[in-house]
Formats: sequence, C-alpha cells, structure tokens
Amino acid sequence: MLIEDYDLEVESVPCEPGSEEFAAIVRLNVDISPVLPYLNRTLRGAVYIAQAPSLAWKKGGRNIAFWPYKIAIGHLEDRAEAQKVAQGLVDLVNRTWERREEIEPDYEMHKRPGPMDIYKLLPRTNCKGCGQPTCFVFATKLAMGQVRLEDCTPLQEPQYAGQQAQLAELLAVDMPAIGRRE
Amino acid sequence: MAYKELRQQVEALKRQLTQAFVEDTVSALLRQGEDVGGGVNAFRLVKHLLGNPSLRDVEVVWAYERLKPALRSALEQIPSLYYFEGD
Repeated sequence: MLIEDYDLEVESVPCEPGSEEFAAIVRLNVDISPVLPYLNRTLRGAVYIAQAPSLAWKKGGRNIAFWPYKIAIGHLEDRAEAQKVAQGLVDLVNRTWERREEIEPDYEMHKRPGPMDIYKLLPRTNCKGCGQPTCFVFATKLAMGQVRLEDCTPLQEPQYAGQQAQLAELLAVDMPAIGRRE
Repeated sequence: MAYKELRQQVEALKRQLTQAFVEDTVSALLRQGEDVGGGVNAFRLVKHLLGNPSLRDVEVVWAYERLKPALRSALEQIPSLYYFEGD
C-alpha cells in the first residue's frame, strides 16, 4: 500500500468568501509522484505535467490535482463529502500502485480540447436552445466544464450521432464503474 | 462499426437488461477481476454486453449513453451492486 495514512483539510474556497462550496487538501506523508504516470494512463481526460510533477483530473464535476505529497479537490458540498471523495482517491492511488505491473506508464501530456476543437464538432445551428447566445459560447463553456454536452438539443438528433460520440470521447465524459457492496 | 448497426444492437440489448441478467453479467466480470479504478468499468461492461471487445472508446461511450437508463434501472433493483465514480 502506497498511502497508509493522510490528513484532510477542508475549507471554504478562499477566493469566494461566503461560497457554499468547499475545497479540500489531502496531506500525505509519502511521495506519490511515481504513481502519476500510471494514473495518466488509466484516468480519462487526465493532464500530466512531468516537470511539476502533477496530474490534473476532472471527475464528477470536481477538479482534482495530484501532487507529490498532496491531493487537492475542488467543488465539494461539505466535510462529509470531502471525506468520502478523499478516501476514494486514496483508494484509487493505492489500487493503481498495486497494479502498476499491469499498466504501461504514460509520461506524455495530453492536451485538453479547446473551444475551437469542440465548436468544429457541434451542429453550429446557433439555435440558442442551450441558453447560450451562440454555439461558440457554448463550446467555450463546455471546454471549461460549465455546461453539459446534453444541453445541446440538436446534437441529440440521429444525424449528429458520430459527432456526439466524438465530443463525448474528446471531453472524456465520465464512465462509472459498478462494484459489489461489502 | 456504423452507428446505425450499433444503434440496432443497443436497442436489442436494452430489452435484455433485466435485473437477473445484469446481476449475472456483472458478477461474472467481477470474478474475472476488477478494473484499475475498482469494480467493473462501464467500458468493459458495455463491450462485454455488446459482445464486441474491439469497439472503439468513442463507440462505447456512445452506446453507454443509450444503455445508461436501462442499466441504472436494473442496478437499482440489485442490492449487492452499486454504481461508483472512482471518487
């Protein structure tokens, strides 16, 4: 087991006084940088920076950053959720480390798609059905994770199936797992 | 694979996604081993259910989006299994 113990710090978002969202830092007493290239291989949409080293990932609408001695988590509702998410991430790191011989490490930085990459795959009808003034504004917000792919109504039509699938792949849409209850 | 063909396979599969079928399938995959993030990842499940291990990620994501309501509905009736997001 790589991480045997950790401390959890939960606080309101410093740049947003009065915000109802929380951020958390999982403080580790072990350097997890060796596991980052393995997580880079297995986590969809992760961005690995070898020089830092760090690995950024979005999961369930949360921003997560793995650093050598800490894991930072954003967009949390409360302390209970922070504890659950932190434990899940620690388990993820430990499981990945234990299975590292089965995984080929990936040291490359995979760029996140920009607004133009997304825009090119949208129906570009400027229908405003998503509540945005243009498809490019929608693409920009999609790149930042502020809107959802399913908010684009025309994209759900059969003739755009291929583009919808490409966008889902490009944006690394969450794919859950199914486990057995203990 | 053409999306038209994939859509037909997905529609046929939806009709088979009963509680017992999903439970048996997931249990069999769990016995084969857990994925890196824990449990059975939806990628593996969808490829298995569609009987096509060579499906591309983009096709699996597309198929999963269409199977999700039926899968979720079946899973909600299986107390021993649960969805988790790796976090």
